[in-house]
Amino acid sequence: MRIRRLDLTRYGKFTDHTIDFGPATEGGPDFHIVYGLNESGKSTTFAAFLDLLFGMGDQNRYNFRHEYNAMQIGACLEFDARAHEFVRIKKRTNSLLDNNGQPVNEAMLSAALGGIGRDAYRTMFSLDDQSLEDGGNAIMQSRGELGELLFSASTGLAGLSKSLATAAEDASAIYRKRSSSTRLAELKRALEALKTERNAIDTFATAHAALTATHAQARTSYDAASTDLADVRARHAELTRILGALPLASELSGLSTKLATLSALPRPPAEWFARLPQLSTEETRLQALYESSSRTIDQLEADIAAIAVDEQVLAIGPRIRDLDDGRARYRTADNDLPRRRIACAEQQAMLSDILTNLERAGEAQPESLRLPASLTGIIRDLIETRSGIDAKLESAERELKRTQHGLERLREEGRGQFETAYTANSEQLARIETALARLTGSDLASRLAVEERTCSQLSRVFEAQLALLAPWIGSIDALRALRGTEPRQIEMWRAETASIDKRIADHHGKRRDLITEQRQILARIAAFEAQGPIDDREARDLRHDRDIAWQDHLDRLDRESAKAFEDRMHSDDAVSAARLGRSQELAELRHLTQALSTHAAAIERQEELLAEATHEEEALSQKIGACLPASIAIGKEASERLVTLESWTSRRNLALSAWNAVQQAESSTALIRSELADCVCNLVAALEEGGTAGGNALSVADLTRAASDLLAHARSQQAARATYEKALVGLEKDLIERSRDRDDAMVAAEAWRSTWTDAVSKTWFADKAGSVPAVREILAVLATLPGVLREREQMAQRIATMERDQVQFRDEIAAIGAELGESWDDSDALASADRLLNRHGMALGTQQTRESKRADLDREMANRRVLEEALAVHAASKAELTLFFGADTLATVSLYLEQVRERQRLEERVAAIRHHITQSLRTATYEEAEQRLADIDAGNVEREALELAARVDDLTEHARLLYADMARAGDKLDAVGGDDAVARIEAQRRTIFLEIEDLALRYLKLRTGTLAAEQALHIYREKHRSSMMNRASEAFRLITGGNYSGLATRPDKDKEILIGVARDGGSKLADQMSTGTQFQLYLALRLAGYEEFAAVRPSVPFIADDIMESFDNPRSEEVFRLLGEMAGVGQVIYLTHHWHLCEIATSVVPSVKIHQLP
Amino acid sequence: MAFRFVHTADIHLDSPLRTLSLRDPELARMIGDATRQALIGIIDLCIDEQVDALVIAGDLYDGDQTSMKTARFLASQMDRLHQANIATFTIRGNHDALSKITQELVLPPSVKVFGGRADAIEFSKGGLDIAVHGLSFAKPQALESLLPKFRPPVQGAINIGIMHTSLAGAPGHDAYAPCNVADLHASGFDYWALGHIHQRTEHRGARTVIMPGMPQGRDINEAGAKTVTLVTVGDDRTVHVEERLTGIAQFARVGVDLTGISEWREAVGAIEAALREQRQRTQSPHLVARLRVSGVTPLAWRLRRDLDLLQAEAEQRAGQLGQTWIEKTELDVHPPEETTGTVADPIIELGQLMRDEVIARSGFRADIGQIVKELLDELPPESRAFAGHDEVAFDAFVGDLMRQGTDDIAARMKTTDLEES
Repeated sequence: MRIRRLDLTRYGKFTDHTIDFGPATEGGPDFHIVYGLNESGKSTTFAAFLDLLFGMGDQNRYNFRHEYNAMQIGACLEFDARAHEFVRIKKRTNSLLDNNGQPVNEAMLSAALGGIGRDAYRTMFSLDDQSLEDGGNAIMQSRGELGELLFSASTGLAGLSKSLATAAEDASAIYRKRSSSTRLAELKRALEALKTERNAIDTFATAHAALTATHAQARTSYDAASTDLADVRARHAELTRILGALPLASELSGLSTKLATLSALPRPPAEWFARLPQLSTEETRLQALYESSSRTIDQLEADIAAIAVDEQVLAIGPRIRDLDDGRARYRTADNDLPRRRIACAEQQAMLSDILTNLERAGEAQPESLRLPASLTGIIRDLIETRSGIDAKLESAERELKRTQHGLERLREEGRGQFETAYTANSEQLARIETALARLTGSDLASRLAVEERTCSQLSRVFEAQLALLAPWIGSIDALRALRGTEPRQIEMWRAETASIDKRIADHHGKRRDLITEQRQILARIAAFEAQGPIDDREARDLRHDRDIAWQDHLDRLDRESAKAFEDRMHSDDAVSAARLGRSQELAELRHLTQALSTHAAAIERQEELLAEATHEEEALSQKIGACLPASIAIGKEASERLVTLESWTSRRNLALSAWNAVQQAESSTALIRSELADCVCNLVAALEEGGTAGGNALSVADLTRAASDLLAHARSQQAARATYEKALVGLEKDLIERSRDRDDAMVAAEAWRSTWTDAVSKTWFADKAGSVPAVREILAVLATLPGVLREREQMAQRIATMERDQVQFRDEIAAIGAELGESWDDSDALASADRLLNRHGMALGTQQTRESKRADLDREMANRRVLEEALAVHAASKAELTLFFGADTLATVSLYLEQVRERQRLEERVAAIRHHITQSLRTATYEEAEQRLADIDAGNVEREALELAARVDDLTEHARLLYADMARAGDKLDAVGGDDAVARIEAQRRTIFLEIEDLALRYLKLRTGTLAAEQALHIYREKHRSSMMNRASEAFRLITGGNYSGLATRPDKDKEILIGVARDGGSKLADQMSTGTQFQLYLALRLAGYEEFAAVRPSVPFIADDIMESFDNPRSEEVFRLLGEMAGVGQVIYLTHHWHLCEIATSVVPSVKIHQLP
Repeated sequence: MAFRFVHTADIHLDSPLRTLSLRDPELARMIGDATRQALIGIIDLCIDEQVDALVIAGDLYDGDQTSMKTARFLASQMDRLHQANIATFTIRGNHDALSKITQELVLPPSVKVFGGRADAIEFSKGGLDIAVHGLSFAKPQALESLLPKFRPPVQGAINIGIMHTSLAGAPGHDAYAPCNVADLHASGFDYWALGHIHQRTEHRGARTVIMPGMPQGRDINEAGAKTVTLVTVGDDRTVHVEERLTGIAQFARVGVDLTGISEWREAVGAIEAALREQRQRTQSPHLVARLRVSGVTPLAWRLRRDLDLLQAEAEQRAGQLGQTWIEKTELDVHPPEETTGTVADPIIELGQLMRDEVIARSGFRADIGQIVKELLDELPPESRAFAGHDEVAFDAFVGDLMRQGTDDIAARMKTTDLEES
């Protein structure tokens, strides 16, 4: 599997970031570096990759920017020879989706990963500083054991040997042979302790049986002793009782004699003892009461006879009682009459006053002056309405006058203000408004300002561009007149120049090479020649010299010539011999000579060609030069000129386009300006038409302001006029209304006056009709008249009544006096009345006393009759008792009863003594007991009783001792108890047995597990050693930069130990290597592990996270080279924040792809 | 007036509970004497319900009971019945026959212990004639049926037979006085009060045949609610049977399937839910649960390695539920990788090596057997049972041990150094 693209859609700090690893290059390493500064998200990227493969998990911590429900990762993964698109979201189920958002079965990924889980992936296919360090440490701990090393390199699990060691430790903490500190040993000790404790408190069945037997024995003994004791005690008690009965028997005989003397007494009923004292008391009480009652009756009868009553006065009682009322009225009238008479006179005076006020003094019939109430009402109402009608009329007239005045004033004002003022008509105003709106509504003015600014700016740009054309100087027209060069032409020339330049360079190069070679040839020839002349020309010259010498010798045949010939011949022979001896060199020399001439020709040809190319270049250069203006300084070379031309052309084009821009800006400025002028003209024309001249002279802004002012003024004028006209209409309407109001008021006043005259004419004061106040005052005075009249009448009546009452009273007194036969002094009627009333009161009192006495008498008579009956009943009871005993008084009866009681007491005592004796002797009847007592010898009995008393004491002590024995035995049995102490100890022991079982199982599992794991590691080693060892060895050699030539193994007991083979052939144990080398060894093993994995199944991406922090550059290079090799097997991704590592990687693996994180 | 009695058997008084949860001293204090509490509960029930009799069909205590404290306690409880005027009928079971304390036991006169010769007690209750038959066998073994030795049923009376029997045999129980249920139904007895088998069974048929089970379970193999039987014989001679709970602590196996669960927290949650459910179904005051965690889950490795932690978490959750205790946690979990067939993980490869090659070697098996035997020699005899009583069982144990051991060690290796992740 490889990853082609990773989409960090919403994950951690990433939003929509994509890392595109691209397709794998066929045959090239699939090696990627993800470069990012610290905190740029390298770890996040790795986590995202794992989350994509295995799901985000519940507690994902990359949700600090995007919420869980928004998190999303996507990827394009390649496996099974095609690309697959996946999306992973944070969800409990169905979190893996395809690119259509449809859920994908996780098994699809799982299969592609070879079933490796998240943790396994992390340990197997990723590397970081920490795991590298842990790996190095693991090498130490494993002591180089090959199986463990290979295994932990394959799994990436560093702590493997540690976990095996921990397991072994855990096992030995549970159990170790002959150790007393293990858990098992502790528990066994605890068991022993519990057993001891149990034995201390428990009672076993056998011990219990013994206790029971002892207890039973003690009980038997005690029971026997108890029985004896009881027997003796019983006999002793019996004797004691008999001794007690003897004195009683003698008392009994004495009592019997006494009883015989009383036998003649009769036996009265028992209740008589109680009844007798009651009867005596009753008799005394009844007699006393009867006598007292008789005395009271006599006294009452005497009292009644002594009372005398005044019957004459009582006969006329009602008339005398009436006198009481009459006396009160008589006394009141005496007091009131003088005052009433004075009041009557005052009333008469008031009446006279009123009549005087009404100008009718002396009127005999004042009642006739009163008016009917209806008339008074009408007149009063008229008086009241009079003032309202007058006021209304007055105010209506005032209002009318004021309105007329206001109207006139308004008209006056209006005439002055509006009939003279000028106003422009509304059409003209509308036109001005339109024109103004067009001017202000458009942005012409501001656009013009902008355009003008643009224009000047462009002009400056153009000037600058033109200046850049220096040293060429001229106008724009001159510039336009110059011939331009087409870019395509330049491109063509450039190609041409390049080809010519290349040719020139080639020719130069070739010529240089040829010359070099030629010189080499010459040098070799020279070398040959230095060894002697062997070349053909020289041989030929020598042969020629020899032939000439021979010819000369033939001609001369002298010694000298012979000598010369001989010399020549020797030389020739020497050369011939040399040539013969150095024939190979000769051949080479010939070859060199030939080559020399070929080279010479070639050099010549190259020079020709060079000249030709140079010529062409010059021609081209001239052509280019022609395109440049004369004032430009130009180089000779075509390429130089071409550059100049290109630069010139571009500057010229820039200048021209700047000029064009200026032109355009100016034309648009002109356009705006003319539009603006048009608007201004319109406005000025409209203003003139509206009467405001001189607009031409104003600036646009002033013009706009003037037009606005004009419009505002006209509008306010119009508004003022409208207000005036409205006011005028309102006032006129008011005037009409006021006139109508005044007319209404006048009609009402007239109606009042006629009603008034009519009403007053019906009174006795019709002559006063002219004055409303006079009438109002007469009415007011008249209103008091009836009250005064009525009071005067009432007072006169009351005086008459009082005088009549007094006469009647006096007459009644006189009449009663006559009837009683008394004569009265008429002058003092009141005193006579008092006497009469007094006499009548006394007569009534006497009568009441007599009635009360009579009632007392009746009651007392009844009382005496009741007492008489009670005395009769008592006499009957008394007779019953006295007759029984034959006595005459109750006192005698009492004596008899006393004797009866004595006899009763004696009889009871006799019965009690008999019972006691019967009981003491345990006999059924008294007679038996009597017989037994008679038979007994009292002396013998007494003796026996004393003996038994001593025996009882002995036996009691004996039984007490036996009881104590029995109780002790019982206590022992009870001490066994039914408590659960033993049961609880047993429960504890049972639990410990279970715990031991549990620990034993745990121990066995640990032991079995570690043993099995060790053996499995051996097998693993055998299985993987050859392939992995070769790979690891090679990798180790590379990483250590040749310091180690590889890895080897060495047997060590039942293990096999990994050793490093140093460059010098020495070997070093893994745990003796330096820390850095251990890291490298671990790295080498891990890489081998990866390749081992990839060799048998489809590879998966391997991710390394800045593992080379501590490596020097050469080492880093080697590691990158290794990673590059790994990348040939599967995809390798290296995360780093060191740019220099990227550079190193690029130099070592040129095809590495670097991806930058933002 | 009906005749009512309580029927129980196999009280095994003071026989200790077999559970690791008693390591908790508090629990030990509360249920350490559960069999005693159960007996007290039975006597309370008799008194509260004012029954006429208590019938105990044997095995009052364990055969190896030697403490007279146990006998004393039993006697004191019987005395309570005596005071309440309730008769007790009991026979001896195989355990009682073994026990030395039987002879020393002094019981109140209202307790009738049937002897080695068949006997029947006849009496009247509210117009019903009752005959209670019983027969004890004085030895711990009884190879033949006791049924023919019983007296014939009394004509016209309600006949109640008390018998200690393994019936047709039951796993975990010694064969004792084997007997056919059909024969019991056909015997003419109205009610058979049986004892010996610890699991309650009501043998339906013509008559009422009840094996009441024990009143208090002692270990996980005696799981479930434990009861006594309250029997009412109506005036019309009908027999009505009710169960009454007596167990103080109830043992229960609680299964938890973690398939589909991938987070530790959820796993603990699932365990709590299962415990809660079992707690709700349990009537006894205390629930002693044995957890069996199973299923295919990515947590399999971690669960296996951190079993102690899991147990502690389960205990803590159980504590929150109240009156719930975990005696042990068993694992039967598998990681999903294993189920997908070929897996590239070297740990799994190593696991497969261990399973397929290492433990398959006879030498390795022999080594392990030797280690087991050496350890067994060091253990008290009471703790040796786990390895089996015979060769076959021993072999099976070693096989299981090797599988478990390799799984455990693989889990330890698999999860090394992952804690910090």
